Amino acid sequence: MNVKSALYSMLAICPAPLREVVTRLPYAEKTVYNAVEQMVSNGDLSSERRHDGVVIISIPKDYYHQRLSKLHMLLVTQGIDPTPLLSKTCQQIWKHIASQKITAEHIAEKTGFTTITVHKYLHLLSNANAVTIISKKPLSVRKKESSEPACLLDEIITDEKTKKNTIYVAGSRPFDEEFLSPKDLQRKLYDKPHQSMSITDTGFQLKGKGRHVIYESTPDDVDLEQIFLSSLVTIDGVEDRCLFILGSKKMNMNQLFAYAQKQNAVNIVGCYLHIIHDLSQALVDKKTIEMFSQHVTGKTAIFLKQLKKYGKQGWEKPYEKQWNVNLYLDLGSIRHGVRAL
Amino acid sequence: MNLQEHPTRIKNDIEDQSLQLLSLIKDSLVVIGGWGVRAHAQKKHGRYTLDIDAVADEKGVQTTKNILSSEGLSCRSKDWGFQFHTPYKPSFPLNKQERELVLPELRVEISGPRITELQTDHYFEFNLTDYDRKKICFHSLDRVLFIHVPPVADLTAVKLGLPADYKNIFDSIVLLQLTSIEDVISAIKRNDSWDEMVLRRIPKYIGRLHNKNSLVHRIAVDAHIDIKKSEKKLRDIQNILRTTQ
Repeated sequence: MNVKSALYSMLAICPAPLREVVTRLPYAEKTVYNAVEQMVSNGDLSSERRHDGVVIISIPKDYYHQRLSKLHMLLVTQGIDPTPLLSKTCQQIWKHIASQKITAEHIAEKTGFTTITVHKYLHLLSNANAVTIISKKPLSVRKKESSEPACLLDEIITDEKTKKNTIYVAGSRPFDEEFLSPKDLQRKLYDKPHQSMSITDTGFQLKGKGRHVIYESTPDDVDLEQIFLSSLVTIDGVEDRCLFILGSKKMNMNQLFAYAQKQNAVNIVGCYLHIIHDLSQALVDKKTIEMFSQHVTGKTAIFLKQLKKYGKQGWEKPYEKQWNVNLYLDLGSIRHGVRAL
Repeated sequence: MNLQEHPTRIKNDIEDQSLQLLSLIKDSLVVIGGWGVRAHAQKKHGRYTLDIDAVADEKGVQTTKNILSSEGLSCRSKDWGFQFHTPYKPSFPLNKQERELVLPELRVEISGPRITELQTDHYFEFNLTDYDRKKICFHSLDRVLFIHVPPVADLTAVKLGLPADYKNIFDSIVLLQLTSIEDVISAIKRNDSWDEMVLRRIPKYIGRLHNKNSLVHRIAVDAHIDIKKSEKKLRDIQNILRTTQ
């Protein structure tokens, strides 16, 4: 085990004073000091001087370093040295291993490493329970998707940033919204532990630094049209978020129509788009309304259930008749939202 | 997918340019809407606002029209008054990422002193001679602007009768911290049948504020506003209006 892995394995148990780190690890003092200095300057370790002058070394709290710490703990407790598994060579090889079978020769071709090297690392990964060996001659493997080491290696090695589709909103909103997969949301929480934030549908809110961020947990492959559709069942969605999405002009109306049909929501979506069109033709064009109106279903839907207890306002009838919906929207609030765009 | 505000320097520049426009016309009108709330609440009002909403008498509207037209703003006639607008032009060179943004327009919306609710006969009329003089600071310039805003009770009273979206609810509970229930009731009562509008809206205000998942609940918590206290104030207003109707 090299000194860096030893440091991580030690500090994964608990943070420690620098003096203790140096005395307890079986390496030359200078080697440990140099490694700590380098890792602190790279951001791989944190150092903090307490009031009594003692310097405490710890693993940073962000998502990536916490995963790295967990992987070290997992491997050493399985009797495996983490050093080779976290080497650049192993990382290169890991990127080519997926749930489909792949041979060592094929990986060697793709990475430029010798077959002997690839063999060595595939056996190490197999020992770590990260890959399953399918055949020995020729050596072929596949990723053990459900195993914890494989998940951690994925998170550490293939640390791809979430593809962002950002809609910029001019003024008036005292918060931002982010739609993230559970994994990315977890990463955000670790990476921004002091952020003022709340997570939709959980009642979990933290006051903190900066502008308030509303996180919403979504499936990995969710798209803008699905977010629009799911927002149409909430008051804030109807009066705020959906309007900004429409204003961004980034939505594919054919895709929205396909989803609406699949979820038996053509009447509601069509009616909403029609109301917005009547408030601002720049937001929804007539062609879109026509596409939806040709597929109105016979089943009457309530739009929006949460507002039913407050009753109707008197403007609803023409829309209710055309779209076969029972309307309980606050037109004044929607109009206010449209005016603010 | 993210929905987020413009980069800070652009947002601040938009607001400074709006204030620059306001500085030209401020003596002819009384500022209401988000800017009015902000002038009263200062830092307690974390909600930024793009448009300048104001009320004025006929002479004030005409003066504003003349000034803004000479500044190159276009005018749209609306059922509630006039909307002056011009594309926002950043006062600094944009970087590559900023150049991809869709930039908004600067808008000034002026109406007469009477705010009417659509599809009803109810209205709230601002007194154009009874106003407070409040300070608003520019972001990037070492400069402040003094504007005319309605007394805080009047601004609260009008907000409480407006549609129950998160902006109006948030503005009204921020303002309720700065005034007394008695003054708000008195402002509501001075205005025809505005109490009916307030009574119609308040249940929604309370319902949405109470819902932990709603936007207004979350931003109120973030702004350190005591939700229960705010709900109680709204209920007290509701009860007093009901018994004195």
